[in-house]
Amino acid sequence: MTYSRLLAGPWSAVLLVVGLSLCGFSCRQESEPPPKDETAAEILKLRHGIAELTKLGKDLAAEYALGRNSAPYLVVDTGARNVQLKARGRQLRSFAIVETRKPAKGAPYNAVWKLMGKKPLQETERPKIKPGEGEEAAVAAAKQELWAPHRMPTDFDLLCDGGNVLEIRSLPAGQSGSRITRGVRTAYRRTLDWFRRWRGRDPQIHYLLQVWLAEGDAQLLFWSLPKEIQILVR
Amino acid sequence: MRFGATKLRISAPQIWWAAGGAVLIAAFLLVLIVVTRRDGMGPEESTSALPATLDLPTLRKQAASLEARIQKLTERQNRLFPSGPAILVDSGANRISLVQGPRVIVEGKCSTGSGLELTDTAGNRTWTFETPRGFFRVLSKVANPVWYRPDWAFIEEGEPIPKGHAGRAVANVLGDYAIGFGDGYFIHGTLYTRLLGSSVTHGCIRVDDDILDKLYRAAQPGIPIWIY
Repeated sequence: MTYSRLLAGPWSAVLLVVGLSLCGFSCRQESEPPPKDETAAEILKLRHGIAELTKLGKDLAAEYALGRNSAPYLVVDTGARNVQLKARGRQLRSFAIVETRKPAKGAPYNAVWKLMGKKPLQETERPKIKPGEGEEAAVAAAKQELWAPHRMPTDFDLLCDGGNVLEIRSLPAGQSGSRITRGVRTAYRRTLDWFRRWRGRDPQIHYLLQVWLAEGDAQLLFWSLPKEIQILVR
Repeated sequence: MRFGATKLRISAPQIWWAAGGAVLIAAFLLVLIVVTRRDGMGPEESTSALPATLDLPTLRKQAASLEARIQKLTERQNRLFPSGPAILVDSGANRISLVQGPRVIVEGKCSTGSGLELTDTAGNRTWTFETPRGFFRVLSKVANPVWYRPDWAFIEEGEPIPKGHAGRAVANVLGDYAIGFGDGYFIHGTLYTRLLGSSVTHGCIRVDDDILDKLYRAAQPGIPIWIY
């Protein structure tokens, strides 16, 4: 008996088992009664609908818990790609999210963070008046160096309780400057952010969510935030 | 035993081992096929954690119940915002509005904090003239208000600061009414109406006479103010 003949038996058995099982499954599939297309489609549709409604219910319940208090709150919805400043369910401001960066693992859903402090990444120098200048001079100074959202930082970190950080970064708005200028500024902002990340991350940070907004939106968000606010992250 | 030109000696246990291995591989493949089919990556998996066995009537019932719950939650959420009067101040655009539920009663220009910083000559005290953000309530309302000038008003003008209340009262600078919302902040009238729409105040919110009148009538103590 040759070696090849010796092993032909068991290996034929292997092939036979695999072939039979495949055939069996395909035959079983064919022998099953054909699914009622309409019923199957409706079941599928209902299951999708139930999933969406369940999610919506959770979202509403989470927001309701915050809206019961009069203090304004922030909703960062990475799925719907917007950031909303709200009070008692009423939207005060809304900003479109351009881009989001978050760790794949442990992504929070309907988590509530409490703002502990704002950390601007650019210095904002306030206009100053000297004693004795008088109100007229103060008004002139205020009008000359108008204190407005455009003077706020474009990039900042919202430091929250539990080591959670919401990083707000900005890109030039679509209508600001020429395409080339915008491209250069975008590249600069991204490089700057890459460099910041490359320098290392604070080990005390538990969860870091980075949200990119249009430049003006980021400044207006910084301008609008009270010292204390609750942030709903989803 | 021959393998090509080479003679090989294979004992009986070796044959059993080879056959056993083949059978094991066949069994493994069989199990793999069964498991893959059972856990198929169907679209249902991503829809919900519902048991796959739920039938159509049960699913319909569940969807209806969820829809009812959503409607209830939405109605509850819509009722969160007070149905009575409330004041909203957009400090970025320097706009103020009096709303009643979803209705805007009056809306117009205002002036909010200039953001200026003043430090006294000794360098001991610093004031930042900014309108606070957040939630407040109307705490007081006064007709024909008199402004009691705080220390910074004297420092700003380069005048000596009086010791007591005497010499601080100034009439006819805050307009006809003042609505207080805490920490010395008021919504009041102004002589500088041309500056409305700019951030030029010491932190108070200035409005024109018409809006002030409407706010004063609606603003009962306790009504909410949101500044953002």
